[in-house]
Amino acid sequence: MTQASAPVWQARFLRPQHALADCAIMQWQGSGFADTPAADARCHLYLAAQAEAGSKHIAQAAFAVFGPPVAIACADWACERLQGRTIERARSLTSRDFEQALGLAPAERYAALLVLDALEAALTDWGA
Amino acid sequence: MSAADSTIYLDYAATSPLAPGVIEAMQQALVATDANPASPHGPGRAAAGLIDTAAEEVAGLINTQARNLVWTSGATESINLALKGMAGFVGAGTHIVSVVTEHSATLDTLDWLEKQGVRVTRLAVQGDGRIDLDALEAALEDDATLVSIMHVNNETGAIQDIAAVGERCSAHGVPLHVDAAQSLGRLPIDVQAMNIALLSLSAHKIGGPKGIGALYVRPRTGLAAQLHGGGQQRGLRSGTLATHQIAGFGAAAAHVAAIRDSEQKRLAVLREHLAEALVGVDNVVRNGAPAHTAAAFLNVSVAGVHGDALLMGLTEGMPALAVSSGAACSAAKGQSSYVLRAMGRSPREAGASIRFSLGASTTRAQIEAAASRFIDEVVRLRRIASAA
Repeated sequence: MTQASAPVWQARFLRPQHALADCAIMQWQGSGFADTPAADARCHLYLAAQAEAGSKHIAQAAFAVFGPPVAIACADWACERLQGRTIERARSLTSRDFEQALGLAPAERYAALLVLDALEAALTDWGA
Repeated sequence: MSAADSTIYLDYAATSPLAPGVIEAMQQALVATDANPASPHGPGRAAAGLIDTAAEEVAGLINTQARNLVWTSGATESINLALKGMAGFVGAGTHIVSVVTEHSATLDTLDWLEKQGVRVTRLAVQGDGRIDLDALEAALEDDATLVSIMHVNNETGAIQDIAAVGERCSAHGVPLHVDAAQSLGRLPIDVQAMNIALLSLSAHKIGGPKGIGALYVRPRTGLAAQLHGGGQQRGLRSGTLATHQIAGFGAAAAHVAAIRDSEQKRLAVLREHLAEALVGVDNVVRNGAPAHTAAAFLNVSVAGVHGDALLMGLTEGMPALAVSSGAACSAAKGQSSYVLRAMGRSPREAGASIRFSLGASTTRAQIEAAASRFIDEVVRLRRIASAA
């Protein structure tokens, strides 16, 4: 029996690796929040710097999301991509990167923008 | 079900697997008795005989005679025929009284009729999903020409008191149409004792094939045909009858008639077992009143999770649960379950709701596994959402 294929991002929703609740880190250098009321979605992103003093590399990122599955998947993917990035490279992340990596449908692009807004807020909070 | 074996199927309100004897009945009709049942020759009469047998079985479930059934493609067509047919027969002055929590087959048909100039009154429901009979009484006194109400709600399983509704309709001389898609085979239906003039039925909800249904039409009930052609079925619904579909419907009816009472008792026990497990979780609430809910149904709302995430988590996780939500859209868009909102739930509560519907293959082990899976998923999603 053939079945409609699952969205590319579904596995990330089912088994996210970067949820805040599963993260042992207690000290975050920056956190940011964004929401998309029309989708009833809220996203918090948390950024931790590498141990070296003054480092502007992201050692780890984590998320907390209340929202549709695609928002959880986008947040998880972003956290994975942010690890080891410089601030500049973190800022270079675009919604197009999400769309290509996760196969977002047009109606799902809001989830990428939600996460990017939360990331920008987190970077600002970090003072980057 | 032919889906993955590991899936726990709890979506019998959407459709039920074929009942024992259905495939054989359909095969016989397709292979050995495949003439046109309207033909006067021997093979045609043999096909007509299969239809007569099936009609007896279906009619027996609702205490009527076979000749009072009109075969349709399913409950949606039956409802369309009942509502549009009655409005077409009555003409000017038609006033249909219905309920806000009806299936879209009824609501959308009423919307269409309203645009044609038909007057429609939609009754509200109480917290348990049932109508206020005094409100019905008032609507009846307002020159109603037809009352249309579902017996068992497809989302919540809420049972309307059709006997009481029928009594009031009868007292006012107003015909009553009942959508029995979810109650056939689950609850006793007696069209005579309940004063029902029109009753819409579906085969696949009771283990028959998809694509076949019926409309019971009480003798001397005025109805304008909606399909015209060869004049079959007393002109009420033209078109060559699908003998194999009808034979399958009949076999399913015979099966469900034999097991209904014991099966519904069994499902009620399983349903309560599931309900106790789920409402033990913080902020999981049961929708509807158990005493007025069909045994197969359990509908719960969950706080602290997004409805879309909960549904996908349950249906795509392991083990997968084949369940439904009347609210697969964003609560914030106001597209959450209109049924639950009519029962007083907030948009977000209505948005994160799950319908479990039990059936013939449901076991206690499945219920326990489903409860465990549901609880794990709610906990998982709440952890992901914590701090958001």
